[in-house]
Amino acid sequence: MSRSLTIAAAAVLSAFAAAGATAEGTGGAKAMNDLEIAHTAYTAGNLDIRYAHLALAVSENQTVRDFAATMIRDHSAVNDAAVALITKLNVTPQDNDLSRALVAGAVEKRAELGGLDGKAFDCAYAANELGYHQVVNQTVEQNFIPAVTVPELKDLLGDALVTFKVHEGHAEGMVKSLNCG
Amino acid sequence: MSRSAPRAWLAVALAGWLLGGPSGSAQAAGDAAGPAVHRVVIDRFAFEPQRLELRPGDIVEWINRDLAPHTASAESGDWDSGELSRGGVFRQRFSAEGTALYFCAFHPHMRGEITVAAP
Repeated sequence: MSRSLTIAAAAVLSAFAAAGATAEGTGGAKAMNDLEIAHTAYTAGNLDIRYAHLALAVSENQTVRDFAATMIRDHSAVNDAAVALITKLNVTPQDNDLSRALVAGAVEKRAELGGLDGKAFDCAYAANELGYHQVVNQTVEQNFIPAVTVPELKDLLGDALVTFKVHEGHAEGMVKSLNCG
Repeated sequence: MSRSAPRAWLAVALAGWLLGGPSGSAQAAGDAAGPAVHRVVIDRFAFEPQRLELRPGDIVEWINRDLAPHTASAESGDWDSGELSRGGVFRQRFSAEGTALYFCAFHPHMRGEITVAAP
């Protein structure tokens, strides 16, 4: 794992690591409820969409641009399904510490990416996408899905995880193809 | 309106139904009265079945079960479903014998194959 990837993953991991415990209510922390998990999952998708828009604005690499377009398309579809579900259930997702930490981390990451261009940007974006999806997928699979109580939300997270795991594989291929060293 | 106009409209509508018609109207495969309709389900980022064998004139119907949008796009460029959201359906009729390779334009690792051969 490259140094930049490790740093990228660590930034998100620090936020999700706390949630890993809180989603299950371990470590003395208050467990996240379904509405908080829904909010965080939606937020994580939205943040990746924003990273993708930045990539489309900056990168001239076709592999990176194709990946970014896929992130926008797929995460928008997942989040649209989430909105349809919360509308159907007539509930409101709840903001929480993890969502706020993710947003704060993304602000820093976008500032970092915004100062780059060319191959440096492509490599940093690709590494962040791989690290982000690795951590999000692990959290969704091991913490969120087991913790949620509403079957429809559990199903939605399961379907979303299928998509996110494909993204993780694509990101891994993108990192390799860019030969970032 | 001339007498031929309604017939022309009907012909266009029928052609549209056959080539890319409404969802949920799949004809049972093997119907002796018409072309067989073969369904390909897009699920978990894969075409299922991945390979199909048809008779000339048969129709393939793709339906997307994934949350993510997909396409069924011929490598030759001869046909393309366009974006299929979850539940979206696309139909394509295959008249000429041969093998058609296709893929998802959004997730190019997803690939499928259709072989058309006379009995």
